[in-house]
Amino acid sequence: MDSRFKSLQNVLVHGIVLGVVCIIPFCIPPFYQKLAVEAICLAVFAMSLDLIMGYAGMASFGHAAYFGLGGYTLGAVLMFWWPSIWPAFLAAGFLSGVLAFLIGVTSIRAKGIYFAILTLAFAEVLYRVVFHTYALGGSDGLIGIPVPALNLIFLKVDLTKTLHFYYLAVAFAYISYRVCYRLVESPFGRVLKGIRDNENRVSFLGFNVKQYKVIVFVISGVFAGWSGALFSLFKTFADTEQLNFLLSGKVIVMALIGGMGTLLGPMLGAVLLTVVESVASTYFHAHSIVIGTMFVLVVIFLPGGIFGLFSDLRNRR
Amino acid sequence: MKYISLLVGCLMLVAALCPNQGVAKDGPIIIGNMADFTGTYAAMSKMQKDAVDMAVKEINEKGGLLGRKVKVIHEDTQTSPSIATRKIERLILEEKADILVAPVSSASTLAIMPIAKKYNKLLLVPMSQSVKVTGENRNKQTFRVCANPSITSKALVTWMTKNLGKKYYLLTVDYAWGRSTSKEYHKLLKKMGAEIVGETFFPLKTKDFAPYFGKIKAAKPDVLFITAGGNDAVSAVTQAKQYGLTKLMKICGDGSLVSSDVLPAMADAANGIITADYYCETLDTPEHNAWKKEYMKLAGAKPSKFSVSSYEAVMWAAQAIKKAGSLDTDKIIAAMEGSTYHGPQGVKTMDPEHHQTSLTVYMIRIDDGIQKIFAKTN
Amino acid sequence: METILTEYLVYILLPQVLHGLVWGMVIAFIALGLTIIFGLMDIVNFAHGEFYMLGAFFGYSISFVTNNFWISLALAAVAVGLLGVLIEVLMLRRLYGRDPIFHLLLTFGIGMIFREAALLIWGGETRRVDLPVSSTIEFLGMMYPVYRLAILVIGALVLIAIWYILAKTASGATIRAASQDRQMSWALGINVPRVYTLVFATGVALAGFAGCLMSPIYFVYPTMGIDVILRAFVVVIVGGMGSLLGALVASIMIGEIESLASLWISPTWAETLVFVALIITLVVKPSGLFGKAER
Repeated sequence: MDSRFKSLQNVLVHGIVLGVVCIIPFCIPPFYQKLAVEAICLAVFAMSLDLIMGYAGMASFGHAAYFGLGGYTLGAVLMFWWPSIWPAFLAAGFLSGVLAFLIGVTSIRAKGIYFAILTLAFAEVLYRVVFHTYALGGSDGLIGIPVPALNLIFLKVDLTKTLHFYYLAVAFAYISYRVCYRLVESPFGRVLKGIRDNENRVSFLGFNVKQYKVIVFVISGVFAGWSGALFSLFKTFADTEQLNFLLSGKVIVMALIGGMGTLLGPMLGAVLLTVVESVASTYFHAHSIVIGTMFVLVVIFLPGGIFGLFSDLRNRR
Repeated sequence: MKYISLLVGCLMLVAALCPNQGVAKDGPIIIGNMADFTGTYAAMSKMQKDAVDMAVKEINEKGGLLGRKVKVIHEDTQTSPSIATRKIERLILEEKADILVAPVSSASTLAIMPIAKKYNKLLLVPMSQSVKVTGENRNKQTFRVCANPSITSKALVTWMTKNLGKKYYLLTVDYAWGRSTSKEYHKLLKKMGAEIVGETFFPLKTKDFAPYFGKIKAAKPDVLFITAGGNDAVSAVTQAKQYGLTKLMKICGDGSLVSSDVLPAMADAANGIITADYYCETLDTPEHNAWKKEYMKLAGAKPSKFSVSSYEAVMWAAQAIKKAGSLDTDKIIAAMEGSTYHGPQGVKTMDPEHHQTSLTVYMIRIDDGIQKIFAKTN
Repeated sequence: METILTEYLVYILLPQVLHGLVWGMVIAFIALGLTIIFGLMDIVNFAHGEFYMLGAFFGYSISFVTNNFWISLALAAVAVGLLGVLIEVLMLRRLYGRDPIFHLLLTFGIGMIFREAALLIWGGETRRVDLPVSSTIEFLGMMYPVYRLAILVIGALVLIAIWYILAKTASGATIRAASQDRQMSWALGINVPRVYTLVFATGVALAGFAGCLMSPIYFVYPTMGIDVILRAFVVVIVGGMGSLLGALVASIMIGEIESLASLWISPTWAETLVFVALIITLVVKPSGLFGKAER
């Protein structure tokens, strides 16, 4: 295909998808608008996991740590120091990045399952520390985060309105996706895929594998932190469940159902799972059986996730 | 191509979500019952569900409310505040719920309270015991129909310091509820001239209490005061008996320690424990006996304080709606404030300022694995 | 002065060490099946806690029929083992040869289903199982339940038996061969799939056995698996995945850390110390105390 035609096609497709996403809130009742915002936050969270798990082959079982830390940081900054959005977001991203750096540097030597459990242990320590820090609400969580208005030079966004928040979340998700997409398609990203497929070979080629791993780990942590911050801002509270290992497990389920190593797959998986879970739990109280069965079937029959199914169809054609 | 598949996905989503609008306005009155059906509080939440179902059935049999039927919708909040906030908005926005019942978890209750305020809907709290609910976080829409620790502690501490001795060791579960409850007792014990010879905070879901017993024994208290609920309570009490602590000291605790949801699992290990609570399953009054019989018929299990307060939450709200003669939240709130309700366990009054119920507190001793009332205070 | 010190050592510290030892053995016993399955099959069984839970529930239900704890214990272990056969044949088998992370994910999903199913079938109440041996013995100025000591002994015996079978018997050699080189073992006429099924079933049966054995002291409820699974993972990882000795050493180490630390610091932080211990171990030795070098 002609590359110019392709880029034109890309712009067109992006435009259509974004257009549809922007029209969605007008077609759905208010509750689903809210659910959609939550789903978008979780979508970015799942995508951040994909960055390290799908592209660099590092299975993190403590990814909730960054999500929760982002939420708590944003909450603490808004409640106790400075009721303004930008500094709160900067602080959330910064602290999540620092945490990811510390965990990354100490854990990177461990491989596979050892790495996974090490990240889990760090997350559990953080969970327990927050759980018992009464200045942060302890097990009750940080409740009543104020929601200041967001000033975008010529546009004032009222974040207490679901619709405004929805567009903010969409913009955030789209920018995050573009940044991550650029990243994985860059030479940096190719090295990452090399590491995933054969770490030793990349290392023999003269790349500093550890450095690459730490960098991508930090980037992933920052995006996870931001998604958590956005989530907490929307919910106006941060709670300890956001740090729990069960959420770390859930986000892996989301990413895998959507399809690892595709960026869009995990996002789709997160949205799908959030909607299915929300609807299923209303009609069937043992909804974890539904999610669990779905997950087991995907693991066995669709290792590439739902997105993998699409690309399989395309390749077959 | 990837984008097209994404597009298809989005469109499918839109199509899936589009209907579901248009709820009939003159249909039944909706009660949205939020409960932690899955997770640690599953057993208590089952009792909550049975009790709310029972209350709704009773209301409907007597001809409904304001000439309309009452319908209950149960939602699983999964012991998670973020799920709970999602569910309460679903109940309000999708199901047009008129009255809401909060789940067990205090964290979830505290998280949904601002939402009830935002939509101006009545929120009844039958189980969450956090002091904050009627304290610093209280709002106009939220009413608690169970006791909070500052009510039960007065009765229990007065009795303990008079009858059991002056040296106390506190063994407390380490999270918000445990901490705040223990603080109440700590304060009161000191005030009544008792000595706290030691305090241990143990983590939630502790399996083995043996490592704490050495320290407790060495402190030689007259009373070991345990603040715990659910499985923690079961483990603490049974192991205290197995390691012979019951022979050296009295064991007392906040009501949840030996409430009837955990009592069957403890069996004889609970014998001799003294507690104060707002409900006793063996309360012998005609009203309670009739209620208990009916509950056991419907639920197939013995009631607990969680059943009775969930039941009363709905009945009390129904009484207020009748009095207000409308479903307007402000009018219901006005009818609730300062009102009294005569339920299966006696008369209760709603404090108009804090929205905390004041009620009879029973002093309870466990004999042969059964709660026995030996005193009561108002 | 001297008597105070001796008193502290004998009546406070010594019992505390004993509690730590028993708690450590309990963890080791729970983690035993996990270690075996990982060591021999390279599978991280995230549903281990749920097999532990099912063992307890099966035992609880069976005891209504048999009215004998020990018979129910054996039957519960067998029942969980059979369930393990089903899981291995129907699901896990399809994943051999894929990235081991898929095994972990699959078992994570299975755990989710089992937990929910148990809640549906048995309900959320905490169930009690009577102590089969209710007597206590007195020493060091305290009463000690005999059943706990029985668990200590049974745990040690099972551990030794497993080690003996794997290290010293012909069938143990077969199992190890199959796990080390699948193709070669095929060529030598070993029925590799059957060995795998057997290993997995044994591993989960041990989890079920542990669950049922612990039920008189730790009770039975649907989330009991989640409550212990993290500790089981910690000891298996700290010990070095697949090493029986490593898991045992790590369990006792962690039991003692939790027990002794709770004398001086809040038990809450003693519990957190377990995770700190894991982090330090893995940072210093990324494959655990007795783990095989990088794979």
